[in-house]
Amino acid sequence: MFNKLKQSIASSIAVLLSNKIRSFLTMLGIIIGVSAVIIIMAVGAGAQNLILSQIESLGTNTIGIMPGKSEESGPPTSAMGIVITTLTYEDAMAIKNKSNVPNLIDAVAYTKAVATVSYKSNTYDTNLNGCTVSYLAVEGGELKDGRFLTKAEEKNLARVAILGSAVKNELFGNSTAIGKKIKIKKHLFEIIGVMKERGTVAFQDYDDQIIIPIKTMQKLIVGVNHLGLIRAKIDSEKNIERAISDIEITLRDRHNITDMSGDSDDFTVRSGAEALDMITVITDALRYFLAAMAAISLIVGGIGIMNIMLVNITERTREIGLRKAVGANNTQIMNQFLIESAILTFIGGLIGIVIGILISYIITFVANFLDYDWAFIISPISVILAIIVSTVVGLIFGLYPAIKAGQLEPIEALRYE
Amino acid sequence: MNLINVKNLKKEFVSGDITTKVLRGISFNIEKGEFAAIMGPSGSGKSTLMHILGFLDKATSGEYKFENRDIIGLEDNELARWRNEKVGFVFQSFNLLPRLTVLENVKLPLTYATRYKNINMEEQAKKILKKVGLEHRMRYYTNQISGGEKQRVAIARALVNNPSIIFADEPTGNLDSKSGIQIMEILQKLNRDGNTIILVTHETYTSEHAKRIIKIADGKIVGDYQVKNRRIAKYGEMLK
Repeated sequence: MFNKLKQSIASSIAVLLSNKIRSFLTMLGIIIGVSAVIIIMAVGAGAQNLILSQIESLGTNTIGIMPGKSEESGPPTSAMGIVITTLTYEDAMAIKNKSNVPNLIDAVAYTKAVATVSYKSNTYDTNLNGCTVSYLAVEGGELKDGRFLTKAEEKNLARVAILGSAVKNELFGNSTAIGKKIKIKKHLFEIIGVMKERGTVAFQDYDDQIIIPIKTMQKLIVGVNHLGLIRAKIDSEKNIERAISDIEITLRDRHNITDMSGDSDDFTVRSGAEALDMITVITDALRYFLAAMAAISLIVGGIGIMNIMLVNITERTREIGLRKAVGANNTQIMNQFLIESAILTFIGGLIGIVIGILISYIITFVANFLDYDWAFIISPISVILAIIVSTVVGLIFGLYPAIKAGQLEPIEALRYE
Repeated sequence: MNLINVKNLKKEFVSGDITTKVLRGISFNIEKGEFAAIMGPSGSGKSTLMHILGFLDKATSGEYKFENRDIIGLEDNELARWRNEKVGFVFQSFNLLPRLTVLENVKLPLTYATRYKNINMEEQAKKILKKVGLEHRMRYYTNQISGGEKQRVAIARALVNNPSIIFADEPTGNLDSKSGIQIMEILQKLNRDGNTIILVTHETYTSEHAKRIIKIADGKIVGDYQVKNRRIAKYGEMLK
């Protein structure tokens, strides 16, 4: 049995080799389809990896606390532009209290706005972040020049500012900025520090921002009393769940919420890991959707196979007749043609995989050349799947022609001119 | 011993409203070891008769027993097995597969055989090729050998499964006279060795190489007699 299969595979390959150009053209549809699937899966995985690793670099052991309640999986209400005033500076201080949240390393409170800043005749639109002194401890980043805020400045409406590297370059070029005064909303701010260049991480441009003390921001710039966001850093990823519940209890206590189910909360606590999960789900869905689109070309390739196999059988009618005359039955003839089309698509699949991997590698190379931290990811599952799917396509689209070949009457096939 | 019993065999082809009667009641027997020629003009139905006898076609009505077993009514797969085990065909146009070598062509019937469990197909095919004097051509492709050699390959292919009977359908029709004589010599030798052969031809000259002639015209047997002055093909003598 095995011996016979080996023999029919060998003879099928001989047939395919005897008409190389036609075999190749027939395979082309499968080659393109398989390589498209491989490339899309690889590029998708590379892009996903890039996004996730950037988010991860922010730390999965951070927690975001936003004002307003939100649904379990939906975006926080505050993200939709609705102003909610339930979160305050005192809330942030309570979270920072070790007796409330023992696993906390530090927490930073934000009030954000977009503002136009000017130095002499230079003006520039940038992100203005009112922060507490804990900014560096939570978000990371380093100072290039000068110093950061002090605890006193945080509360005493000090008019001091720390510039992101892009803002510094826009306003001051190469000259020193420390000690100079810039104008924000009619107020003059003394520059006490300049941040090192950090780039864009997870859609957040760290270089295009100005940091000022939070109270100064609230009172002088936007005229509010609430916070936009608190970010807390936890000592270890293991303790995230506990820290979230500690923060929730602390805030409910401060906001006089007795309902412990979370239904009455006027705030939202989210871990970085949750955001990571959400983005993974979205990017996964995109990847598989694109791969499915590419897989449609495999069906087109399959139709090409069917077409050529039908031509093939017409051309080889006499051969079929002869094989039947020497004793081949319908099933044996059918198998012969099925094996032929399966081998055709199997080899097409292999070539497609090689081309797909090659192109994916070139894309990785170019992306790295353009300074993206792009990983070359070929999942073994996509390769195995590509081989199986292409062979199955051969079997499915080869089936009808093969059945037709098997059912030919021997005597009519022998007489066929 | 009776190999073939045919009684009142009829074959009709229906095409639209027109029914063509090709065989109108054929009856005869073939014994084991015979060398019979079925002779008749083209359109007489001799080829159709051979196809039915060789399990390639089915009769419309009548009786056909092969080795005392009823053939009428067997299904396709059963007929395929009988073709594989019981008969060997030699065709006018050779019908060799051009993509296969001589050896692979001869081996072909063995690859479809189910009755052999442990047989060295290669050795069996080589042994038969030696019988027709072509072992030196076994690695050649069939487009690299002459017409006479092609027909000898076809004979080897017909013999490889040790069939009960060999059907030769105008085996010399596409050959020059020298090669034709060589083929007839081989067939006569095979018959002397005990093989049963049915030769289908429209030439009186060719048919006289057989021992018995069954004459067919218009779908009926019009004569069935032993050959008196049988021709013996001698390729070697012709060369002198």
